[in-house]
Amino acid sequence: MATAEDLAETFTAGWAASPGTRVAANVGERLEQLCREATTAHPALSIDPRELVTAIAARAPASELDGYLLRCRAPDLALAQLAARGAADAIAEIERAFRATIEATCRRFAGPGHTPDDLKQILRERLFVAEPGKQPKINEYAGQGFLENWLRVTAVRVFLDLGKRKDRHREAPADDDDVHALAEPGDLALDVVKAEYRSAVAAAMRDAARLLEPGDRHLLRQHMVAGLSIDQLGAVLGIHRATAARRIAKAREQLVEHTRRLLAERLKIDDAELDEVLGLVISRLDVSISSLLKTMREAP
Amino acid sequence: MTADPCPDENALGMLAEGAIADADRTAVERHLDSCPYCTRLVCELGRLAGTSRRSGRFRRCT
Repeated sequence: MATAEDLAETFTAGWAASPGTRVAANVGERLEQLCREATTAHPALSIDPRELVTAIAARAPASELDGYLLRCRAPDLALAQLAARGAADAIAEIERAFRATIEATCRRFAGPGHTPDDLKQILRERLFVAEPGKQPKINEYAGQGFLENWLRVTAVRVFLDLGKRKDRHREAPADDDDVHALAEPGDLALDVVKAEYRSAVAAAMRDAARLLEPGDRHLLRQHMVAGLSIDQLGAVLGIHRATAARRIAKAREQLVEHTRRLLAERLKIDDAELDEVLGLVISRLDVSISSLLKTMREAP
Repeated sequence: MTADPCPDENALGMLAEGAIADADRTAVERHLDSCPYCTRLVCELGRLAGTSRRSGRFRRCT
């Protein structure tokens, strides 16, 4: 077994973010501990501590090294690294350990074009077979966060891209092309509002939506347009369901408040009439929000 | 349309796990608001996570 000092030297030699920088003594001890965690978790696999430390060094940031090492999931990273270099036993272990996740995802995306088994094979190739001049996809696992979660996100992305080959760093799917299109008053269910005010109300609602916190607007959109439940939102965004519910409620309230303020500024009508207009807006708010957020996106 | 790159699988996995730093969460959520592709991805992940089976759920920090 390599000593803590050996491992610290290996780390220093391979630290991509800060080449050659010497690290504190406790880093070697932490690396030794991480290697022990990996070998204990996978006793049947041939884990080389120096190889694992080299993988950690390739991923560790120059700043917050201690935090990275504290959060490092060495057993998962060791497994991913062995799989990336084609170790059949490591690949088999990933497919065994995460079979339920893989199969659930394949079932979800199976359809006329692909059976679950087809998708499983496509995912296997994507994860473990390198394209010319590249590393296999599994090599992109950073060692932070559970490998199982990384695998689930990767599988969903691979299956979504099957239908729509796209450059991840750009270009929206075809059916979302006109993302800056703005909803018309008719789309916002404003027929209950006096005709003379409809355009102003639609404009105020659009501007009010732009004033929301982007993250809250995203939650509101996923909830009201995509139909995700509070529990689903909490699960995918890593927040408690009560937090998701609170943020959605806050966004709705703010949308109404901003709309009221903007209308007051623009329409110059008395409070009673403003309340009446706003009451009508609120009575159809769910429909209005859905239409509004379906068609509106902001540049960051 | 967004100019910033889409969050990778590590970032989205850590987001779901509840292990992402606050500043990174804010940046990811801002991106999600502006990117139709990532909105769809998160939506599909949410639907998968909403199944009653454990296999559909993300592992969370304890």
